[in-house]
Amino acid sequence: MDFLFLLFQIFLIIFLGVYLGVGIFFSIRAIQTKLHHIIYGSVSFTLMAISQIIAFLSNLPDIVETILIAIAFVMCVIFTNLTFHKARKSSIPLLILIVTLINSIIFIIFNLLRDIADSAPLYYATIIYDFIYRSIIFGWLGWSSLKAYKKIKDKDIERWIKARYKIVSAVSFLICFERIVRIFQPWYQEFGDPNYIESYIVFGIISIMAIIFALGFALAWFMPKWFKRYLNKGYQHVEDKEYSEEELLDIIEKQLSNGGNNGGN
Amino acid sequence: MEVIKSLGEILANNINISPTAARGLIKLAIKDELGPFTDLNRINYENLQSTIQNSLKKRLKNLTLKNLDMITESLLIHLKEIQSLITMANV
Repeated sequence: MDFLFLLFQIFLIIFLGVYLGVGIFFSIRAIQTKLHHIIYGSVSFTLMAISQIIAFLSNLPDIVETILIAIAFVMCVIFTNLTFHKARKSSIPLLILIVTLINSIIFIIFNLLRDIADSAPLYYATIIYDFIYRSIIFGWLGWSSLKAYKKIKDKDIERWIKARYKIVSAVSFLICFERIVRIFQPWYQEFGDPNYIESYIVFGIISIMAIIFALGFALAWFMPKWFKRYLNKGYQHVEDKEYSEEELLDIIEKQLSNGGNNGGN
Repeated sequence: MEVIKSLGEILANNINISPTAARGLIKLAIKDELGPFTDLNRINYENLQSTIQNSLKKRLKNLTLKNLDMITESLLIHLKEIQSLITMANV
C-alpha cells in the first residue's frame, strides 16, 4: 500500500516535471525559431504545472490554483488558435476562446463557492462543469491536431511530424476524461488521502492517467532523435541541389517552354 | 523545410515545373522578401503569406506566367490549410 502510494506520487511528480519542462522548452523554441505564438503554449504548460505544485506543496488558498489553471486554459486555446487556425474565415476559434473566457470566470466562481460552503451537490456540479470546461479546451486542441493531420497525412512530409500530430491529438482527447474519474472521489474526503480507499483509488487512477499524459506530451514535444529516425524509417529525404539564381531561372524557363502550361493557359 | 516543400508541390502542379524548381523559386522569393540571409527554419505564417503575395508573384510575373492571382490564391489557401506545419515541424 505504502509502495503504491509512493509510486503514484512519483507519477504525479514526473507529470509535473514534464509539464514544466514542456513549458520551458516552448519558451526556448519560441526564442530560437521566432515563432512567438509558442509562448502562449509555454505559459499554459508552465502555469498548469505551477498550479499543481502550489496545490500539493503550499498552504495558499485553493482559489490561487483555480485562477492559475483558468489562465493556463485560456492560453492553451490561444495557442491552439494561433497554431492551427490563424487567418481562417471561420468564427469557431474566436467562439471557443470567448466560451473559454466565460467558462473560466464561472469555473472560478464555482470554486469560490466551494471554499465558502462546500456541499455534495456543489462538488458534483463543479466536477461536471470542470469536465465540460476541460473537454472544450483539450477537445479543441485534439480535434485541431487531428484535422490538421488529416490534411497532411498523404503528403510527402517526414513521418515523425505526422506522428507528433497524432500523439498531441490522442493525449489531448484523453485529458478530457481525467475529470470524470473525480466523480468517484467522495466530496467530503481529501483528494489523495491514503486513509480512505475511494480517495486512494481515485488518486491512483489519476496518477496513472497523469503519467500517460506526461509520457505522451514528452514523446510529442521532446521527441528523441532515435525515435524520429525510427519513425522516418524508409522515408526518402528530399535534398535540393544548390543552384545559382541564374541557373535556377534558366531551368524553370526551359521547363516552361518544354510543355509548361503557362499558369493554366 | 516542410512547408516550403508542400507549397512547392502546389506551385509545381499549378505551373507545370518540377517540384525542385518550384521549391527553388519559393526560396528565391523568400530571400527577396525577407533578405538574403533569412534562415528558412525561422519563417512564420505572415512571412510566407507576404512572400507569396509580393515577391513570388513578381517572380512569376517575370516568367511571363498568366493567371497570377489564381496561382497565388491557391498557394495562400494551401498555406492556410497546412499552417500548423510551421509550428509542428519546428518546435
